[in-house]
Amino acid sequence: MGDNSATWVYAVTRDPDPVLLRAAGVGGEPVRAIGDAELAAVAGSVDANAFGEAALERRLSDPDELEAIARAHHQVIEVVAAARPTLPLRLATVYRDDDRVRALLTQRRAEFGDMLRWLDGRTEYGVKVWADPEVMTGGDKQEQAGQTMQVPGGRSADVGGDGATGRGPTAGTAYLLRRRANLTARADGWQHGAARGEEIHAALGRLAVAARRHAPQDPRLTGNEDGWMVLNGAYLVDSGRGQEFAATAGAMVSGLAGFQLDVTGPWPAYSFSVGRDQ
Amino acid sequence: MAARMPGRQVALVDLLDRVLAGGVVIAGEVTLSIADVDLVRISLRALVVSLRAGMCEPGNAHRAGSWERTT
Repeated sequence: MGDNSATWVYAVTRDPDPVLLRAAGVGGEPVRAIGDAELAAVAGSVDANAFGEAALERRLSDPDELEAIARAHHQVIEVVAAARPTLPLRLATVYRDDDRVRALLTQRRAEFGDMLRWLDGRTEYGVKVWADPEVMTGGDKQEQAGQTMQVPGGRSADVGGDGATGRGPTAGTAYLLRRRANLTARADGWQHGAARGEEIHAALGRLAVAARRHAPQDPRLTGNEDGWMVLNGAYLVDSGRGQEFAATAGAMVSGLAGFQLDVTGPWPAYSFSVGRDQ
Repeated sequence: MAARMPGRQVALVDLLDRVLAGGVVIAGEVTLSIADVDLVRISLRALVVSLRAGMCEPGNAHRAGSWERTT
């Protein structure tokens, strides 16, 4: 390989299916296998100037480039994972040359082999749950003067009264009481939503081989500024039971007011390829 | 393994959850120079933080990234 080339690694698999040779990688390059039938890295040669450290830091900071590179990385992984148990590599794992990749496979052969055997016949699904803040907080009743406020937990505060007559709280005090009740209701509502998220995650985990929570997604990325994401979970499920898993997940919220659930997948097992000590 | 219907693209946010915080990690969050050592590994921590600045709501205390292997 030329001095300006580097090796981008997509995944580790075994007995790679020749179909992967028709895939194109992050740099448009042909994808190939490094290694042997028992354990192989799926990789491509890329221009080190465009995919070196400095270039990648700049490019991955641009939303459009990040999207293009992430999708291209994923496309290759999907092709490979459709045919064989596959360990996806995290984005932007680049080696200086193929020999270094071979050394990686030698060094971690046993670990990769174990993980591939564990993933065999299993598929990842994602489950996200949102709570409606209005429903969680019991709706906004605090703006109506003279009304007793109900907050979760049964506490109530009467902020009725006309400040002008001197009977009951002044307008300013009433405002502060309403504000405190609002914040309390909101915090309680969040706890309620989060607790349901925990319960759903635990229940889904019992249906799965393994379960993992990702951070809630930033509302600015999802475009959903109104809902509270109370669960962003990933579940490793026996292949062929995905429909059943999705249906069971949906049923968990169908009777719960104020909750929405979305299932994604099948996914290559990204969320279950991270080493336990990483 | 079930295949995705052609033409249906995964949502970018769901993909980023996985390619940035999932997948085999070869080294820690270290940035190394391609000229000096074997491995170029971009530190994605800063990128992830900038993309996800601000969790959805305060008080979200669950530990992201932890997982349990039940079998």
